[in-house]
Amino acid sequence: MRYQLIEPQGNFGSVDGDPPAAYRYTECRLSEVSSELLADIDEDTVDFIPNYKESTTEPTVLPCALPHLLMNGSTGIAVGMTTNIPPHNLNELVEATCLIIDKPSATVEDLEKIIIGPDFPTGGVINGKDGIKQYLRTGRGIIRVRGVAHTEEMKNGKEQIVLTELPYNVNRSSLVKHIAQLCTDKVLDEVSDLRDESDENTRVVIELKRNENPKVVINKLYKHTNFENSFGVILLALDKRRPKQMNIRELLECFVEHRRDVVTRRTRFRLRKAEDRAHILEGFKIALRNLDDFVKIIRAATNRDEARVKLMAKYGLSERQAVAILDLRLYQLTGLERDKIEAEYRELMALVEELRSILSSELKLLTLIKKELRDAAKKHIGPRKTKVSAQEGDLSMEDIVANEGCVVTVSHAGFIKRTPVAQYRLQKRGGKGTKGAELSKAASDDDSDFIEHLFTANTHDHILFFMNNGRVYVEKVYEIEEANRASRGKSIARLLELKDDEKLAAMVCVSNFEEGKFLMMCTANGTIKKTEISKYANYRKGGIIGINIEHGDRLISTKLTNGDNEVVMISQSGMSIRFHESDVRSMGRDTTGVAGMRLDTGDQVKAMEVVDPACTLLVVGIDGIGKRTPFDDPETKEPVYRKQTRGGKGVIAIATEVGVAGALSVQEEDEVMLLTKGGQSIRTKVSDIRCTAGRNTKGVRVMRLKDGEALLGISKVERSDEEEENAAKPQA
Amino acid sequence: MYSDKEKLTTANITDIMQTAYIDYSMSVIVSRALPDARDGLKPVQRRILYAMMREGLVHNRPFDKCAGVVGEVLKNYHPHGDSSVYDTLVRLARTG
Repeated sequence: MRYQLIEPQGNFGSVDGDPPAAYRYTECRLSEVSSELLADIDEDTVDFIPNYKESTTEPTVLPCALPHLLMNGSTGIAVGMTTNIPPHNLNELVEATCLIIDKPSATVEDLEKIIIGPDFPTGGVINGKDGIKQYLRTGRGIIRVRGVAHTEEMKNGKEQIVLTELPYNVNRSSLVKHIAQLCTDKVLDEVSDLRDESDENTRVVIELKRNENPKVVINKLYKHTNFENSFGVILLALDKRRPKQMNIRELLECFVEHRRDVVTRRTRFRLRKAEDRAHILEGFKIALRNLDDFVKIIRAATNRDEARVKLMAKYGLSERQAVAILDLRLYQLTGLERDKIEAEYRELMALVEELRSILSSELKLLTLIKKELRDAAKKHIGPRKTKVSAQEGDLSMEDIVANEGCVVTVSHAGFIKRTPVAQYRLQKRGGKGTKGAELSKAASDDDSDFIEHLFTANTHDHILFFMNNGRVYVEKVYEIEEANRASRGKSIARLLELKDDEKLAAMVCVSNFEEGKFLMMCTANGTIKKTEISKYANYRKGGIIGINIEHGDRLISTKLTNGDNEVVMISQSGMSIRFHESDVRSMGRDTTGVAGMRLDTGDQVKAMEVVDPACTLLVVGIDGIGKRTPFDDPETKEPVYRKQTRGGKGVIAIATEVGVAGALSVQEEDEVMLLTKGGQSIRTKVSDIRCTAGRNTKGVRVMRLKDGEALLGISKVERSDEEEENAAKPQA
Repeated sequence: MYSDKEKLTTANITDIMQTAYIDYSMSVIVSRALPDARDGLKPVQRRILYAMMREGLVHNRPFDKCAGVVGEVLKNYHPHGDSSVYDTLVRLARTG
């Protein structure tokens, strides 16, 4: 009940679902709203029928001064049909009813602007306006009601979610039980504690573990529990004793029609009464005018009947008038009382006039209905409790997966996994490193597996997987199985449904496929190709062609550029070439590209990087010796790596005998991850590696390698906010 | 309970079931489960409000026992179970 019809006293149950006390313990009385529904019932406004034993009568309908059906709603299951009407806000209903009265041509669309939607006594938020529109127009529609929650920060810095409003008809204690069950089932493993602190107001507290995203938990509650509930509206009611599904306009018209009936009948009743009284008063007036004669006649009469008959005969009075005159008391013959009768008669005639005009004028009748409706509603109207939000749509994976940083690794044998970034410890340069991945024992005999790709990403990002043959598969990061640092992961071939001869060459992580960004692709033979990233937006599960690869060549790197970047290509022999990307025109997706670097025989491109003046180029050899050089000399502002045009041989980037393992464009505060073929990994700060301005130099030891070990590659680690927070606090 | 004076006719059970069921369903629709479009009340709700009004249990009077209301409704208006009356009364009194 949005508007209580009965005032309770005692235990009438609660939203927790506990039952009310037995009727010998509880008390009640009608509420003010009920008086509005029952008002004027004794003025012949409605039909009465005998009760079941014909000892008394009962009304077939109440006069009902308020649009009660829509105010409080109704539910019922009959045979073959059900009704489910939500409660509405009285204020809106009154305005809508008045609109229908004022403008009979008002459409459902006009009413929609006034009636915003259901208004549940329990509050909540209705998600999406389509369902509301539908049921207002057709009488049938489904709306989704959500509870209301907010977050509070606790003293220890953790966050807690507080549920303050639940959807209509949701049992609070079973909701809490359900949440608890979801916590034990690991569906809600972000939750550290759950308490129901409700008194007369709902307050369910869900404490979160450190650094968990409350939004994700709330979305999970919407998805998995009754915290979001659907309400299937069916506006079915009895119209002239026949069930009928109606839209909002028809229902309000029923009400207006009913009121018209009630007010007309009441006016007729009052008119009849007034006329009766007027008739009697007319008799009094005659009697008072001829008082002495009347007294004489009465005194002369032997009994009451004789007096009556004589009076009727002499003055042409009706029997009722004569009886009333005989019933007069003596004091009523005083002068003052005579004036009173005169005044009452005048008043009565005015009333009769008024009542007749109501009956004869439709306009007056409707104005009266409107006035009475507003008067009756005035005491009960209040602000809406339920809010309506326009936002529509089912929850997508993005809503229930936290957008958090993670490290995605792909091994040489093609195992992929993602690991929360916090699991990687920060170590000093020169350490031995923590185990990056447990490698396949079966494969370790001759051709051991090793980590081939590693990068950080957010779980909501897209990853474009570029195969060595130029195919591209796109997948969301959260689709990759989360695993701890030491586990091996899932087969990438299974995740992406790869073809047999395909091997992963490069991955690009983007949050969206917006215009103005380009993918720069580079093959081992020195070919380079540039394509707008938006061309990759319509990806398919089976992959799309990213670049056309010539026979014997393979894709080695793909980078994201903004259209005004410079790129550097570094070959295995330590050569490098730097050119502006405008040298490479943007092409379609299914193209080969142009020559980027001319290589010596046996040499191949090892890496391609985008030049960032704020960054330095880190080149590390297979022996773990590396160097860091600025792209442009900090003093002379001259480029250390000279700008050339594409297609040249390039210049020496590092003097190395064993060959380059990898190259990276890094910032001073960056950290890099170095990986060996044996699966050892080390994470080190870039600032720990000395920066040298010379181009043709050997560099310093970046990682100490065991015998037989070789550095496989390097990768940048992006620090997440979470990690920085942890780093700021002293470790306990 | 057969007696000689009883008048028996044969009828097809499917016909009987059909008419009986339609009668039953109409009775449920009209006099139990669905509200009237005009006052939005089901018969039992209307009976409770009317009985309480006749008892003088209006909003500016002191509270009185629910048992009395239930009894009155059962006695004069609603020849059904007491729980259906009391449950309805409770529902009319609850917000939420």
